[in-house]
Amino acid sequence: MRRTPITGIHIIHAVGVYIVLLIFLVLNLVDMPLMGRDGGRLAFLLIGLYFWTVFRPGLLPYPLVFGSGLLLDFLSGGLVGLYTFCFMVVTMIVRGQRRYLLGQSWPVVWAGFSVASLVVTLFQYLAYSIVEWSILPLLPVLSNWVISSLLYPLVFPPLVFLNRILSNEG
Amino acid sequence: MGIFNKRKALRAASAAMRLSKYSPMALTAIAALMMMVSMAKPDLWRGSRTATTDTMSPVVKIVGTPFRMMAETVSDASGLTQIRAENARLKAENTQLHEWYQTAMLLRAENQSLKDLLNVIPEPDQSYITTRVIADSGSSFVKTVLIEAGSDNAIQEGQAVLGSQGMIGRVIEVGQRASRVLLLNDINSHIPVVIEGINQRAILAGTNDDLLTLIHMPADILIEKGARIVTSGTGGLFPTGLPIGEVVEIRNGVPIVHTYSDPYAAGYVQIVEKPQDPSVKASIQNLTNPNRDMQ
Repeated sequence: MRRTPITGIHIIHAVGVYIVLLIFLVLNLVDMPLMGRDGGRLAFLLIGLYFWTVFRPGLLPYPLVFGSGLLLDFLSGGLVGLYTFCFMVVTMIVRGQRRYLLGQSWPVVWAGFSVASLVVTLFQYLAYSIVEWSILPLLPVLSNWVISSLLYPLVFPPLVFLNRILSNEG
Repeated sequence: MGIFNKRKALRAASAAMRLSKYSPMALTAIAALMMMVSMAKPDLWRGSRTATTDTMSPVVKIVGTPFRMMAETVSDASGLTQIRAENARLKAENTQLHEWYQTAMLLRAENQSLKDLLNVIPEPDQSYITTRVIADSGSSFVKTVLIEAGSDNAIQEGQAVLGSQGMIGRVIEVGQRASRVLLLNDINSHIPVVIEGINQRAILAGTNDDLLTLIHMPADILIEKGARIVTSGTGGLFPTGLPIGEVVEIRNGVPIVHTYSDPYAAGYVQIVEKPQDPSVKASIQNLTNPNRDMQ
C-alpha cells in the first residue's frame, strides 16, 4: 500500500483544522453570555470533532482525538480519561457511519450530532454518579444536552465555509 | 545492562507508538484505563493537570477575552434599560446605609471598649489577593473555576475564595501562574459553618445544583428562613465569619442554603490568606526580612 506524500497544502489544511479545534477546546471552558450556567460548553469541541470526522477524517487521526480529549480532561479538572474515552468512542462510531452521513441532508447530520452528544452526556452522568455514589440531578444535564444540540446549527455554517476554503485550496 | 534496558525501553516505546497509531481500540482502552485509575486515585494526575493548566492559561485567557467582553456588554445593555429603577433603588439604599453606618460606628466603638476591658487577643488582620477568573470546568458534573494567580502570587491550597458578596469556594490546585477553585456548589465541597443567631455549627455541602444543604446537625434544632450562614473557622482552614449565604427553605427537614455570591457571575475574586497565629506570622516575617528588626 502506497502512502500519499504530505505536501504543503496538507499542512495548511491540518493547521486550519487544528486551530479551530484548539479554539473550540478553549471555548468549552469559557463562560458564554446568554447561555446559562452550563449551556453549550460541552458541545464546542465535540462539534469540531464530529464535523471534521464526517468531512475531513484524514486530518483527524485517532491520536489527535485522544490528545484533545486528554487536554480537555486536564483543563476541566474532572475525571482524567473521561472526555478522552467519550471522544474516542464517538469518533469511532461516526467514522463507521461516515459514508451514510455524507449522503444525507444537514438535519440528519445534526440529528447524528444530537445522538453523539446524548451518548457523551449520559456516559458522563453515569461515570460521575458512580464516582459520587449518588444520583446526580438530571435536569441540568439534559438542559445542557438540549443547548448543546441547538448550538450545532450555529457553528455548522462557519465550519462548512472553512471546509469549502480548504477544498478550494486543495 | 544499562544499554540492554535502554534498548528494551525504546523497543517498548516504539511498539506503543505503532499500536497507538494503528489501533483506535488500543487508545480507547488506554483512555478507559486512565479513567478507572482517576476514579480510584483522583490525585494521581494532579501534577500533569497543574502543569497543563499553567501552560494553557495564557491561551485560555486570550481566547476567552472577547467572550468576557461580550458578556459584560450584554450585561451593560440589559442594565441600561433598568437604569431609572436602579437609580431610585440605590438612592433609597444609600439613605438606609447611612443610618446603618452610624449604628455600625457606635457598635464598633462599644465592641472595642468591651474587648479592651476583657483583654481579648486581637484577631489577625486578613490580607487578600484579587484576581481574575479565566475559565470554568465547562461541565455539569464538576464545579470549578480557574483563576489567574498561582504560587508566584503566594496562592496556597485551601485558601478561601470570595466573590463580590461572599465566599464562593476554596483553592484546591495551585500552579505557578494559575490555580483551580472548587466551588461551594460542587458535590465534593464540604465547609464547616455556623448558623448565625442560634450559633449552631454544621457542614455546608454542595449538591452540584445552585442550592446547598446543611448537614451534620442535631435533629431537633430549629432553623428559620433567612438565617445567615458564615464560616466557623473550625480546623483553622478559613477565617471565622466569612459570609456565605442564607437559609431559603427547609426541605424534608434539611435546611437549603442560597449563596450570596453567584460563583459564575464573579469576573474577579478575592483569595483570603489562611488564618495564622500573629506570633507565627511575626516570626515568618522576621525570617524572610531579618533586617527589619535591626533598623
